[in-house]
Amino acid sequence: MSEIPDTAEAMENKETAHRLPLGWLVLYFGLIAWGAAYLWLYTPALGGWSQAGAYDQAAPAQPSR
Amino acid sequence: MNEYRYDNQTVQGFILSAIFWGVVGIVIGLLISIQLWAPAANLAPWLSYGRLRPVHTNGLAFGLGVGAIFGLFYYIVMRLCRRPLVFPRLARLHLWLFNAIIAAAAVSLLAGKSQSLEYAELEWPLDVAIVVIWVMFAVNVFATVIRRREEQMYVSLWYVLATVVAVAILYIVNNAAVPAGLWKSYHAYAGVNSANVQWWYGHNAVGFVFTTPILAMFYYFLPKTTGLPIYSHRLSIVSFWSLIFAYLWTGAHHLVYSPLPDWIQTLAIVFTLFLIAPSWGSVVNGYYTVGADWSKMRTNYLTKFFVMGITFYGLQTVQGPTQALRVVSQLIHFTDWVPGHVHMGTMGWVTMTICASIYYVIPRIHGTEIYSEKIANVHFWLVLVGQLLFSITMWITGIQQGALWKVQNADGSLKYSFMDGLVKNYPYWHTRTLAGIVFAVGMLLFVYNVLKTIQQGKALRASPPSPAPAAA
Repeated sequence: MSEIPDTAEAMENKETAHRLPLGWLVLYFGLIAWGAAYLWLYTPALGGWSQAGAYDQAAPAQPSR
Repeated sequence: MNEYRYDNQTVQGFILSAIFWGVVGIVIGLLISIQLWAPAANLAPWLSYGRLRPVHTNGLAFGLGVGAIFGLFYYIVMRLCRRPLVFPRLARLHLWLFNAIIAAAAVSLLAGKSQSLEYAELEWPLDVAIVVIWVMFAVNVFATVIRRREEQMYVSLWYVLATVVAVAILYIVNNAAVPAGLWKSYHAYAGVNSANVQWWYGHNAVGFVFTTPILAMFYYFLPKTTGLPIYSHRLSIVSFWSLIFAYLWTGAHHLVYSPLPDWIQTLAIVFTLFLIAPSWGSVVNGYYTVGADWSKMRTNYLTKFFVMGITFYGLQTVQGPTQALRVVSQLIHFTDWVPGHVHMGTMGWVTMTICASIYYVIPRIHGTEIYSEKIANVHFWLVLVGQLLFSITMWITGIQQGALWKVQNADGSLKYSFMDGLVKNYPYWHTRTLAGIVFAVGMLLFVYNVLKTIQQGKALRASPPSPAPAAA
């Protein structure tokens, strides 16, 4: 096996150099879309959710101490 | 080959230094894993868990990891720029100072001197010294890249430059402190701001010590060892810029359910999940590269190191982002799941890739072949089994721990005490020590193989010229 010389040209496969696999593109833009939705839903000033509000809802009414 | 000779010695010096600190760090790791289930193994204050744990993390992240990064970056930069380093003597000085600093760091941590910031434990005099050697490193790398003889920059060089720049910024910002004596200081930020800056730094230590530099090695050494050119240049570059852009926003996922404002937590979670895409860009690129000829897995002993390394990188970069989700974080945060996660990355991806890169570099420096492929194969299987046993064990006990901590009585009080959860860890902690021993034996075989290769190379040079294999 002859070794690849240290040039960018030789280190890259020419036939496929510009390919972005479709499945990967779906993942890429899917995560951006998911991120936009999640950002909206879990930002108090946008979707209304808040850590403290979620806690108050989830925790059973505490007996007064 | 000869024009690189002087620089090769510096490269090898860093590699040997990294190996030395690696052995120290792994042995300390074994000891602290025992201390968790055998408190009597805390022999003296300076040999107690609290002091040794940062010696373990700093020793391996900065001694083994960064040591190997310095050496292998010099190697990669010289070759991809097709010229020797611009300042070879500076690099040599860098090597000596690096070792002096790691030694001083270990001593200061054993003495209990700490900034109490994870992965930024070292006190300010050492921080200043670290900034100095990092600047020396940066000057050499940038000067060599600027005066390169190869016009196009291969993707590894981009990862090298990102590492050099990002670590400098992260380190200086989070280690900004007000000194109060020689070995005491206060973080420049207070309260929640301190936590936010700390985890911006802490998580990007993972990003720019355990990810970008290791990807630089992966992208360079995978084609070099297999003879297979990288699948897609575009995929590598899109992944690079996306990774760099997203990483720096993610640190606050360490502070989910903390007093940090909700929107900062949410933003960090979003960017963290997005990171799956660029991470998997490199994973896919790696698989497709080897996919051009899978027989390399059989015919070239190093291929499996890189394929397994990038596989664990792929698993790590799905598991990590998942952990950032609130629903997952509330189960596994503060449990033993987290060391299980970290060690899959460090033992399965970082160390695997570094070892494979060293296996490639050392024989080439000496114009010889690896001493024993058989030993390298045994090394591979031992570290693989050791790492899997370690990670899986910690995940199981981590989930158990988290579940126990969450159980409430009808009145809202906790059903299980801390001790209830702790004693249930013991069988898993015993197994973890066993896993650590298996991993350590594998690493010792690696060290032996490297040292024997160097010895073989020296013998080759000492003996009269014979038809030696041509060096790259």
